[in-house]
Amino acid sequence: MNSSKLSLLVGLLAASTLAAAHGPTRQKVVTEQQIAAPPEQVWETMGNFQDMSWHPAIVKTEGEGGNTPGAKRVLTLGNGGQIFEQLEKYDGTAHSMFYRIDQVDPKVLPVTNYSSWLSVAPGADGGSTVTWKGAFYRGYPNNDPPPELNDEAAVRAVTGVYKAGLDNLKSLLEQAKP
Amino acid sequence: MATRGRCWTAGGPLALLALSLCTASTGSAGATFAFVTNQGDNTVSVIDLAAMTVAATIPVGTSPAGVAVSSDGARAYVTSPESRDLHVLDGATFQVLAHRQVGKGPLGVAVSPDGERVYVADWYQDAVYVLETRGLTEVARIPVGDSPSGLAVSPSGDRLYVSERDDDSIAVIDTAQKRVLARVQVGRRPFGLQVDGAGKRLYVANVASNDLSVVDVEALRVTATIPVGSTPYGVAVTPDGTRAFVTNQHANTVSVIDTGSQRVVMEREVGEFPEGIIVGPGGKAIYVANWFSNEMVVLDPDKLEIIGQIPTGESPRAFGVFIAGGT
Repeated sequence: MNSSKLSLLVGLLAASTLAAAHGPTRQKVVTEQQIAAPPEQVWETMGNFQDMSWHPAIVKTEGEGGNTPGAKRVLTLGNGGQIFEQLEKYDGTAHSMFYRIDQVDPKVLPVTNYSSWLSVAPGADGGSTVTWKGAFYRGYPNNDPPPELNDEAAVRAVTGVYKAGLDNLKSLLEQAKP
Repeated sequence: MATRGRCWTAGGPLALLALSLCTASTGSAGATFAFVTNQGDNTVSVIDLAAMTVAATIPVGTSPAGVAVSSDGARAYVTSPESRDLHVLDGATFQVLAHRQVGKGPLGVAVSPDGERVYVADWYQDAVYVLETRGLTEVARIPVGDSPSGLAVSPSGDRLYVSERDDDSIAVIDTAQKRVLARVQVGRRPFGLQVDGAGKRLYVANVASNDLSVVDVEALRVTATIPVGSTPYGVAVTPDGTRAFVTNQHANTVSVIDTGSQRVVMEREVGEFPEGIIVGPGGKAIYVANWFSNEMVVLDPDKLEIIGQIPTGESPRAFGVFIAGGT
């Protein structure tokens, strides 16, 4: 395949994955983590859309547009897989952001039509409650998905991503305390 | 005979008691209910609109999503794309009366105004099934465009409108001839749609282009494209056709459109991931199912203030006409 055909294919792939056909049942995942650090400090660590280094699975964040709605980022995982994301809403004062995946290979993350909210609220004893929520369909858009691309696989993968991220965020912030 | 829906009319000193028994019973004559499909826990929440409470939670198939209540409120039709079937509920006793398999991914559903036909869009087979409501026998299977989702029937019943999500178009079906008369290109990824009370204008929510297409169904063309909030999904129209409402899933809002000036005049937060929306009978209230926050909210039609919040089951969709006589 020559390079112009390849770039056409990539272009078609990008267009088709944006709000592409999807499975019958949208899934949701909600994960909460209590962290013994004030919300401002937690947000300082994880509230920049262009820096996802607080997540242990992400080795690189590249993007443009800062924290303005419409900003883009590409997350690179340790195994080389990439996730292309776009910021939809950002509120630095309320400590919340909302973004979506524009494109991802289901082998990297077995989901389609994924959107996600990250927020920090005051918790107990001056600490914080971090909430990470996602809405998505399974990786396989048609009937009779293979097991690795079914609803359960999608929920399991997203739950794993959220838990790993929030656990790491907690240890980063709680270890950093004097 | 619907035992739970019966109201005894007794004279004399028992009249008051009879009245209170009547209103407490689930299927009392004259009561209006919302049938909210909870895709996450395989149930339908039946909500008494006068009391603003859940009258019953009914197990219905697997992952129910689409719903259509007949105009007289006697039946509610519920689709489950996951288990590929259609369930029929009694509108007064809420019992499941019948069910059958329909296609490979039944989602959108609508009932003819006379209650004789139920239309089911098959998301995977790109077809609309026409079934007799009596016996649920298949009358016709009409091929349509890619990923048919929303269905809306004209007030006269002679037209059925289908949003063809992955073709960026809507199909106009002649319900007597049971064939597609025309197609109209709209915005990107059309999903929910609703026709006005005069049967002249069709409003189509375009999930990916964040706008609402206004289709003149006689001229068969888009007369306006109105930008709304992020990821619009469901559409409702007041009975007099002066206002249209759109749920914006990613914005957590409802946009209000003045249909005269064809502009958004208001946008209000209503809860998380709003989906199904309908104007209640007589236009007195607007009802919205919030998929993420597991509730149905009741909105004042003028100021769009939240005047009621009723908890539902898990992940309510309420995709379709989920209240009898709703628009």
